[in-house]
Amino acid sequence: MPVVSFELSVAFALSITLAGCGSGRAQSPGAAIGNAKNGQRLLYAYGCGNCHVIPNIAEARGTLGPPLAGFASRYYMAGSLANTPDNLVNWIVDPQKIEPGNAMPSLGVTRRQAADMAAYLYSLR
Amino acid sequence: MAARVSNVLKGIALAGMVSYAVVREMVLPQRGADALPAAPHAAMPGRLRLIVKTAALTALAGIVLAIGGGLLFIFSGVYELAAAKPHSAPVEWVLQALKTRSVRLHSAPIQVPKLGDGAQLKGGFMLYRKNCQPCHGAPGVPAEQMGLGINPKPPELVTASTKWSEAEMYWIISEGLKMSGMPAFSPRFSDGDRWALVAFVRRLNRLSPAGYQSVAAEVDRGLEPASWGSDDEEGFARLKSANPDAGRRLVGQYGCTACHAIAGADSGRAGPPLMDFAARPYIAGSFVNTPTNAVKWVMDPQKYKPGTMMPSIGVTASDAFDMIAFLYRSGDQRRLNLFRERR
Repeated sequence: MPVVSFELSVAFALSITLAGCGSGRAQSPGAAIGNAKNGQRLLYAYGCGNCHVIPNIAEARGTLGPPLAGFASRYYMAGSLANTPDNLVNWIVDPQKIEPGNAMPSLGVTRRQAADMAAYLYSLR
Repeated sequence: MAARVSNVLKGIALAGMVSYAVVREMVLPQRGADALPAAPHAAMPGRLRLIVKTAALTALAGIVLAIGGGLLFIFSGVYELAAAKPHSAPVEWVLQALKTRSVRLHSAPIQVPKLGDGAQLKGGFMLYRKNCQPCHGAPGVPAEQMGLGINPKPPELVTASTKWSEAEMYWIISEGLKMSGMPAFSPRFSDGDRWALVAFVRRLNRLSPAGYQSVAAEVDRGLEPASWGSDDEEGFARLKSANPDAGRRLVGQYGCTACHAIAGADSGRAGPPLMDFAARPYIAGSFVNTPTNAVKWVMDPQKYKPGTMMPSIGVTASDAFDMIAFLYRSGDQRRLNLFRERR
């Protein structure tokens, strides 16, 4: 386990460095936000797939909410927010606070977990 | 560990003994019979007999290996039952297929009574909120912790009526579903209560998140809910005379495709994709997706959600109906059919 987390932190540091250098290579913007692999697990665990179609998430075939394929290339989210990491994390944590009465429930996701989920969603181009 | 291994070995030994006995019954008497010219199968040529014998022995060896391997698989404990991890794709496919077919077959004889009067819906709502919402949630309402942790995930039920008929829902509620966490309510809930639940779940696709909350508030105050959501008969009637082909052109002319991915058109990436708009129960996350609501939204989104990114660009009602007719044409029609084919 420690080996894995070491590798992850190296990858994390590397992705930040690369992003910081502004190198021409397209880096997933998610890499700097959180752990996409863990985000993938969390998106399953919170049942996000019940309402959303999400690529490579088990059972994620829901039609109640918008499909999330290609989420990284979406300009806006939730109808009125710019699709930025901050907005996305705030939205996942408490959508009912941002837009009371919308269909997405606030599930008690922590900020840290939401950041990992966001990292995964930003890997979907 | 030692006990486990010895159990596995015992299982394999048992399988071995059974197959030995079978082989002896099948093969040995034949050998004896070879000597007797009167035996009917003595006429079988030697070569054919060899082939049959080889095939039989091969099949037996396969069975022995399968039983032994199966027992080894079970008793070794390697299969992980953790609900935290999703089923593998093949297992999920098997369970899904089994569920769909089994429910369809077993619910076939059920006679559906007339459903959906106000008193029944109110009863159904109260039963739903207490017994179903903890695992399935409700529009805008999360499931509770135990519901979130179940595998497979208890489905949201707003779209349930597009997947299951009334008889099928009644059967699932009554009998429950093995290997899914869905309990059987059968002997403890009366027949009437179970049908009330079916009636209410059928109604969920007419309720917006706000509609669900107002029903809850009115029931809590001891009132009869003023609305169980609109069937929008007027909107669907008007939709019949709308022109989806004109709508297809208009979607391009009004520039909708600049922001939305729409079937057969360029894929805009500012707004949500609208390819399966017919199946989507809500518009803008908040309004029930009926023709009238969709038209109102297209004509003046800023009125219904000030600050939304979608601009109000002066679409006429007639154009809006044509565009909605076009958008409704692509994607799964089952949700719309629930409105169109009212009993």
